[in-house]
Amino acid sequence: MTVPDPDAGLHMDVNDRVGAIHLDIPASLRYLNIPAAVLHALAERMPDGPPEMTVSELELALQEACVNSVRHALDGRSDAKLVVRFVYQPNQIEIAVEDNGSRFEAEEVATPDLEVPQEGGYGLFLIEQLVDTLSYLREGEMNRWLLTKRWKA
Amino acid sequence: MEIDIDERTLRVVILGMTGRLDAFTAPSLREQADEVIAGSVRHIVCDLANVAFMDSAGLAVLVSLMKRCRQAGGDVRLVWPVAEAAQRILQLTKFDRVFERFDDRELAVSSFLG
Repeated sequence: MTVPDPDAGLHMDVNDRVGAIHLDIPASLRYLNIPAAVLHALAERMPDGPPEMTVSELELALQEACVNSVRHALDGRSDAKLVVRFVYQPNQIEIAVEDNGSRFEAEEVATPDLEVPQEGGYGLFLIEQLVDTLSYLREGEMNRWLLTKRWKA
Repeated sequence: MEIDIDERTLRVVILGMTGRLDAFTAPSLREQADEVIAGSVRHIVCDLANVAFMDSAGLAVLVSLMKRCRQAGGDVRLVWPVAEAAQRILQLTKFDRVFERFDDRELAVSSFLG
């Protein structure tokens, strides 16, 4: 099984079980329903796709990652880039959220105190709770968040 | 014989939402909530039954509304969302313990009278 190169767009193996989708979307809160729609469409059609709860959890994690990029990293810059890549294979979806905004500084993010209701600061906490693995890389001028979710066959 | 009639009226406003309550749509809800609060309403039901998805920006509006109502002696009660995608964030952030939750509007409104 060959894992596809998402940079080259949409790929499929002969059994439609492995592939990638590359979205280059406006870095605007308005259009963040687009990655969610793609995720739902992918989950609906991929062979042995994820259960509904898994899709719901991945959708929320994806939304929070994209909102973080638009609000914190890109912050209205005119040359803002937001890229979302989906790589799917049996029982796993991996999503990369990439932006050319300012570098993420982990020490600036506090873990929310769940005993005290607050209006913000839940984004990264939620992503960590919702995915199986989460990683962050700064590659040149790009931030790259990698979210992976797996499910049982 | 003495007859004492004590009639009280409690004003409750229901904010009903449909679709996605997310970072793009949350400002509209905040505007509506601000208008309601400006009208001296302190008891609010947020009907999330038809909310298909909610993110932390949507949650932030609910929390802000709850804090303002409670400071004024009122509260915000929730009609619980049906969609798992909307329930999940309330569970993970433990807001299902912060808000009183109900299955429909009538029960939520009645809870203020009880």
